[in-house]
Amino acid sequence: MLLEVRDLTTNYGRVKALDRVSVDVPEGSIVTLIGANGAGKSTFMMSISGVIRPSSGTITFSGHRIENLPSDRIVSLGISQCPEGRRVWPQMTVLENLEMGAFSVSGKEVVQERLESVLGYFPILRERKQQLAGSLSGGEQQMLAIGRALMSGPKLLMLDEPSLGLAPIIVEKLVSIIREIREHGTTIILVEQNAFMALQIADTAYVLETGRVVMSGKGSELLQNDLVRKSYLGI
Amino acid sequence: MFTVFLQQSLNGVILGCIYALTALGLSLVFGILEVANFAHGELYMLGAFMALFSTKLLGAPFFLALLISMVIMAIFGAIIERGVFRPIVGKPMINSMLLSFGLSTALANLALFFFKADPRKIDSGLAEIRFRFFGLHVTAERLVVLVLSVILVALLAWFIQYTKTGKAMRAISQDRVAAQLAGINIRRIYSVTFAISGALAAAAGTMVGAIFFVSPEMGFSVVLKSFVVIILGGFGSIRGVIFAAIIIGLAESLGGGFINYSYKDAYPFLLLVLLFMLRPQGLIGGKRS
Ligand SMILES: Nc1ncnc2c1ncn2[C@@H]1O[C@H](COP(=O)(O)OP(=O)(O)OP(=O)(O)O)[C@@H](O)[C@H]1O
Ligand SMILES: [Mg+2]
Repeated sequence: MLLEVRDLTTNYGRVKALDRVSVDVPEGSIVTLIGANGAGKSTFMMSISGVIRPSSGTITFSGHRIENLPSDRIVSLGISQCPEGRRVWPQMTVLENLEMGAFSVSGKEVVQERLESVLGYFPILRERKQQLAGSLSGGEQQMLAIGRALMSGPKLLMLDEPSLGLAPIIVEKLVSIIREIREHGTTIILVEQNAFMALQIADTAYVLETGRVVMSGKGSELLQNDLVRKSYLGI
Repeated sequence: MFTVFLQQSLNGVILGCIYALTALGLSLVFGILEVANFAHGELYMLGAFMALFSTKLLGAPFFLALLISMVIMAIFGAIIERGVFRPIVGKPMINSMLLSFGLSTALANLALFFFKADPRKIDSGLAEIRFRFFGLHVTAERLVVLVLSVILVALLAWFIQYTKTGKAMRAISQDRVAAQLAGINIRRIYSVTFAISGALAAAAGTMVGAIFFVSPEMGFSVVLKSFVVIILGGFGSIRGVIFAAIIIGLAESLGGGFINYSYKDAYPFLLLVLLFMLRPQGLIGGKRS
């Protein structure tokens, strides 16, 4: 397993946002978390990234226990997150945003190579390179946020609602980009409001309900599951 | 009359440069750690004493003393960041206000106890060299203050704009969580920020200690005026802060020269009150995003 999460519990004050969540992410796979608003999907990712401290449980990433590491060490170990709501730095240029995504990387050539491959995925960013990120359209900012997350060269990429605000045709492109990123050896955790899309591309899926894992299985199996179809696919 | 006006304006600009140095450091700390550091004036005061002792006890020339004081206060800044401010980063502003106010009082009193209250001057060896042009008197000392401030501000602007650490500082001030997710070591950047803030304050204190004098309570009014400057200048805007600093320097110098010298410290605050009534969005109107 690349990532092994065991009995992860995270609280916001008295609110228990995650309750003994266990998730396995095999190397090279795409794993998706689905669940209603407030189920705890973003909290899960922030806990893995070390931005929010879990109150108990363990997180093991390629043999390292990381639940108590600071966020920058977690990034250096190879975990990157594209957070919900883009969160690009609005007063910095597109190029600066991407460069900062590679903060943990040493070596100018490596950064340059990554930059080229990211600009290859999202050619529109090349045209906008010197523009302030805050002046990009919502969809362009989303691409920038994904590109920035790729700049650290992660072994595990976590995408929190990457398709939010993207036009359908761009979402299709995003799906193929996600597959391509995986082909290049990056493992992916995907959170999506669009559960149908997520289940289609995921190898494994977990269903979260008020902080608990209530179901898990192959993406294709959950697509056929009656409860999932009713609650999350609306069919 | 006109020459007096010009003379006071020149002095105001020089004063403004000093305020720019203290206010920029304060504004960096405010923007990046989101803490209000009321002990900033004491970094300035201690910096002045460090330079004073370097000249008096070590016999260091002025520029070396300035450098020594900047280095010591950079380290001191990083230490108080670690020990005092880091535990309260992310907590409501009132925490840092109370804590730093306490720290300010403690440092000022320690300085009073150890360094004594009698005002002393830092000897720059430049006060005797005088220039005259267009009927204005300037000492080499004041000219050096002007040039040094411009150099330091330019260096800071360059650092923030072009270096990796500077970009990380901007990233943190615009979105701290995104900075963490990008792998930026925010704790290290916090230390660097406080170190820069301490060094700039030390430079300002040293220069004031040469033009005017050094005393344990010199930090009190400076920290308040620096807050006025960053409020006027719009938080987080270097250009706005410089502009506001010079306006405050001019207000103080011209008000002191033409209205009444005893109220010189009041003019900046009057200006602030006026500005709040006329332009609540700040001078430049730029809000920190
Ligand atoms: N900063 C916070 N302080 C307090 N409670 C929070 C905070 N962030 C999230 N929560 C709570 O934790 C729970 C899980 O939130 P989370 O954002 O992880 O859900 P989510 O599954 O990502 O939802 P969405 O689909 O809307 O993005 C919610 O009940 C939410 O109210
Ligand atoms: Mg969420």
